[in-house]
Amino acid sequence: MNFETVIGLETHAQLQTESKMFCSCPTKFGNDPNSNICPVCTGQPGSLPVINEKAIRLAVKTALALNCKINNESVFARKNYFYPDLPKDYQISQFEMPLAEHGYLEIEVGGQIRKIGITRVHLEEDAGKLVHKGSAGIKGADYSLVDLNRTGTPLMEIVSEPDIRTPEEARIFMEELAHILRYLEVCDAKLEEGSMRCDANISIRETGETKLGVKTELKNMNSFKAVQKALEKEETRQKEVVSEGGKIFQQTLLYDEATSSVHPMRSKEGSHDYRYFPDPDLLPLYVDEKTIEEVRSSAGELPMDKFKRFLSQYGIPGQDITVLIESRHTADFFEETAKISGEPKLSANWIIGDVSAYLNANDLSLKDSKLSAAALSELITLVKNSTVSGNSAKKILGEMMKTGKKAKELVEAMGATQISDEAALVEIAKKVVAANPQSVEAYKNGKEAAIKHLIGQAMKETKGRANPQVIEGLIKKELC
Amino acid sequence: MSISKETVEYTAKLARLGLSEEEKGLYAKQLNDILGYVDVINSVDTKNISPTASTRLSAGKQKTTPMRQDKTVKFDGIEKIIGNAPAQEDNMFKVPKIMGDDEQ
Repeated sequence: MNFETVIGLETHAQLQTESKMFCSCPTKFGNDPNSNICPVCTGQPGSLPVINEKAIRLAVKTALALNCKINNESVFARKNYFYPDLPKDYQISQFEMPLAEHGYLEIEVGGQIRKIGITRVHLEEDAGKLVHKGSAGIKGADYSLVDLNRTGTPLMEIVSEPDIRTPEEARIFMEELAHILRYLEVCDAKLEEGSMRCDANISIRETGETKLGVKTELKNMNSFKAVQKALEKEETRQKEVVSEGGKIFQQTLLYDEATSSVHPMRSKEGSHDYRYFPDPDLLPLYVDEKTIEEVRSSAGELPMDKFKRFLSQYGIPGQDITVLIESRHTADFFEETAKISGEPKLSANWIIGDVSAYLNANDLSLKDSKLSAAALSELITLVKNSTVSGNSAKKILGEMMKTGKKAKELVEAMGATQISDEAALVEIAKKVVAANPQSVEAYKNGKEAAIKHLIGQAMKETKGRANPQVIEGLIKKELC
Repeated sequence: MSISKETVEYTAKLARLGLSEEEKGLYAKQLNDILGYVDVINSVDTKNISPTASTRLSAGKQKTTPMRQDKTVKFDGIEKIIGNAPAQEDNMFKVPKIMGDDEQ
């Protein structure tokens, strides 16, 4: 029997706001337990929620990037359930009328563009954190402690259509989505740290069948790799069960990273009856066309569009573009450098190569470094017109990034100006040829590579400042 | 719509309410009365009228939702919130064992 796999993803992303979704408590992490709580987020009687405008704008921005239709009117609803991390005994979420619907995200899989439908984008609030005592986990714990700092943090839920066909596609979808969220500065999108979380629904059906099979839900994947791994395991399990004449039951499975296996989570009858109803504390959310247009123009060009434009405008390789457009700041920095220096390829090489290496080694971001596009352009120009050698430029770059000094200033201070003047180099060439008869002999016997040694010696004499092309020409002249 | 005793039992279970047999019968009757009244209201044809969420935001006028700027304000009185809980430890709310011994 041939099977087709059907996967849909539900992603939760913590929005980068200063304050919570419905109250003014800080959303900061790592503070002392219960230091960022108030009557609203702890569900005290008589308190009322008020919507955070920034959260709405960030969600609208994301929805537009995912080609969704924004609903001018949407409704916040109460999702009712009991759990110690949920002080109000309901979560404010959106149900029947979400903020945005009917979008799609294009991903590239094996050189092909795949269009994955986005069912909806809606807003809700996060729950608190539990600390279990007397055991490593909830199982076997004597009691638990509740920290409500995270309670009420804005969460955006993005639900995909069941358009994904392989675990690999699911991973690529998540990576692209994370990229967009980071690029839009909506969410830092770290699965490892929980700022972005993914639940995956997976079912299989016989190839050609149009009805969906019974699905299972996978949770607890803390990396992009884990998303793919967990889905592969479950895909294999379902195929085995059905091939042996068994049936798939709807259930929730937890992925265990350590053993890379999936285990059923306990389920309680009726626990999924959330009795959604419109939250009487909140009026419907109206987002007018003016706001949508404001957000649209502030969002700027999206990664996928930028990729296509860079490819045709600058003619640099796709894999380099992917690195350059990782963040909007880097992409803008590249464009500015390319414009000032007139050298897009060299600009890209510097940014991807030595600039990135320096940033990684010093755990910095380009934004926090002291390097400006104008400064990098100056350095590129100095290399291009042979004022400094490539090797010296690398050293100068490090100094520029450390001190924020200008390239020209450093070149002069370090005495790193490249010597291209033939008159100044001809004596050096003569000296090197005279001092290395073995290499001269080898070269004359047809061993062309021997000249490398002579050039190396000349570089040593000039402390690396000789223009390699000029000195090579002069040495060759001497050898004739 | 009619509310059976079973519906009352199910709803009570979801709301974590323990009801006596007498209460179940009483609430079934009361809920039926309430929903019966809703049925009366439902008989009015409102096909072309959108629901009124607020008289301040009625149709035709400019629609706005009150919102707040993304500014933080620390609440001054957290210790009172924590002090209200039946049990605390390390400035956190202490809750009984979540998963029973018979559960896995």
